[in-house]
Amino acid sequence: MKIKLPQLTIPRLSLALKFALSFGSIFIITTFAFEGFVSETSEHFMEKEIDTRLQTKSEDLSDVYELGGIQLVQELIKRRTEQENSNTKIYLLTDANYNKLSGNISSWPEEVPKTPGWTEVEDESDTPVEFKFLSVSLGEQYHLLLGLDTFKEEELEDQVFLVFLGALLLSLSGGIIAGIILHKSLKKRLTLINTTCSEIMLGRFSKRIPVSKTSDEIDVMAHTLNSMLDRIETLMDGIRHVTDNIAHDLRTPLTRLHGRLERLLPLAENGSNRKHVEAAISEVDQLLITFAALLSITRLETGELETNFKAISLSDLIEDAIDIYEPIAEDKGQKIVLQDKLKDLTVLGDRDLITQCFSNVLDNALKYGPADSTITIDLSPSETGAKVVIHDEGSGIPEAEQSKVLERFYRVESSRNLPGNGLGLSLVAAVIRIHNGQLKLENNNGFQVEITLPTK
Amino acid sequence: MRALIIEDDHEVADFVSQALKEAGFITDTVHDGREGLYMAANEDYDIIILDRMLPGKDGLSVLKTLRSTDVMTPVLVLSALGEVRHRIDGLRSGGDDYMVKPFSIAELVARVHVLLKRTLPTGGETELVVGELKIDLLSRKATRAGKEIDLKPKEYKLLEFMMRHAGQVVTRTILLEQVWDYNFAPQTNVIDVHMSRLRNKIDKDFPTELIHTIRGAGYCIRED
Repeated sequence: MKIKLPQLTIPRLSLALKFALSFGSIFIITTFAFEGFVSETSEHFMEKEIDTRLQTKSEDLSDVYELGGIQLVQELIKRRTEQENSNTKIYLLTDANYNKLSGNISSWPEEVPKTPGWTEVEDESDTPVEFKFLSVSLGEQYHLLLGLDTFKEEELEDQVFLVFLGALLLSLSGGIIAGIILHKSLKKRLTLINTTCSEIMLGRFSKRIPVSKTSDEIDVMAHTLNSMLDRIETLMDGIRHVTDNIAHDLRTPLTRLHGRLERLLPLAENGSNRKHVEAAISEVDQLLITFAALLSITRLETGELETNFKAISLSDLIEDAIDIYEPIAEDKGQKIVLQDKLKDLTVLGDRDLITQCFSNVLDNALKYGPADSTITIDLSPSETGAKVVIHDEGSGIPEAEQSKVLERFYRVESSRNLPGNGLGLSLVAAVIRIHNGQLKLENNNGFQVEITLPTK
Repeated sequence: MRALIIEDDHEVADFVSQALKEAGFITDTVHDGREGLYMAANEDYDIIILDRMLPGKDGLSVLKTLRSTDVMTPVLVLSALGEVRHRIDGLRSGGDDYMVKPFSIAELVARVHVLLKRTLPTGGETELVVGELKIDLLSRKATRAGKEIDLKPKEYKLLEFMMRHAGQVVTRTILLEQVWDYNFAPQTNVIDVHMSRLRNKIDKDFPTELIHTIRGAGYCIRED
């Protein structure tokens, strides 16, 4: 079992970064999809355009044939091949046996079937060409083949793609910059909220999350959180107030009770009367100890984290604690052993509270450790500060009960016959909390309490 | 010896007053801060018992006013506020000791004696003597009837404190505070165990006991 205060950790993939990344990927995907759509449509459009041109030409030439006969068609083809660029446009007029009559290629291409209709030819040689052919029959004796180079259109498509790619890169880098800025500002604001919340967890209940002027969603959230904190603070003040009142209102009558009993003591003769009065006094004393412990636990739990802690030497505190408890251990045949020679470790804290904390733990170790056993104390530096481990050879605390023993008045079943008020470990936990330290309870060939206190 | 009690609860004030009278004091009791300040400033007292929460003027400001006008009478502050922080506040304001309510009257009387002793000028003595028991403050050695007693450092400190207040009752709380600097009561009664060790060394081999248990109060070292 372990009590740990929340630590501020920055996640490897922060929310803002995730946001920026998913935003970027969606952007890339849509751009590609749009590019695909545009090139698909333009390709389709250009194909249709080519088909229409070939169709129109063939219809023109058929009309010419009908009106002026083959002579006029030949005349027209000749004129057109002379005028137009022969590399991109193909004209071929043949007789019924596909022998050339006129045109700008020598013979009927092999790839084109000798039937009327559409054919596409691709040539992947070093000067790549791509043609679309339309062959039609003029009357019974003539065949006409018309072709258009579509490679130009392909090139256009490539260009469109390049333009898109350029646009994509440009907007992507813009997007990344925007993402980084967004990431930074979002991270800054979230970290601020996080830091404030952590401080509040440490007991600085008056802290509030700063709200900017933009009144965006984060500000709305900050505002709601602040209202919630106001409410919590009011409740905490209520608890503190009630505690103070209880303290004040009960202490005076208890003082009177104690005083009256003490006045009775010399009057009571030796014997049973005296015994009763003495017992009553010690009952009141026990009540007071419980009462004081309860009040200080409540105070510590609702209290602010002390900021003006002083540097105290843990090694000195432990030596003092051993010194005061050693005779008690000896009476039970127990030994208190320091694992190593104590290194001098200093922590920031309240001397009285930390002393009380060690005293309670050591007291427990001696109480629950069997006779003739050893209590081991180890003090060592840790990542965050100094670690003290106090180990006894007792039967430990069942795992399920380990978190419960920190609650007020909880006592482990097997130890109810031993003296104690069930507040010792609650106070330890409260003291460690106010010092921003860690408490770990563990069964380990006995029972082990590990206390870590920050050095700064 | 004169004591001034400034306490608004009449019954508590009565207990304190009676107990101090029994201990040989002449006492005056007032129930409000303003009156208390007037009395403390104009009369000559050996000790002032001051409640922290008072009508009229609160205890700590009475204390501050007294100290600022150079009234240096030892003051024992009584309070229903028991936190470390409050204790420190009380001592910083010029209090010489701080007791949390409810307190035992015997404890209060014992503390008053310790306070009075503390404020007496020390005569630069080099040894303390109770009957045939002697400690040398320079060599930190204890002897009883000329026989050296081997003491651990804390045992010596405990014995020295007891002997400085020989004839007075010292309570367990006072010993915890003065010898071990423990400002709280440990769960186990550690003082009794330490005291029985000390007794073993001081009294066991001798016909008369020097360390006495005072029932309901604490311990006292004295030659009967």
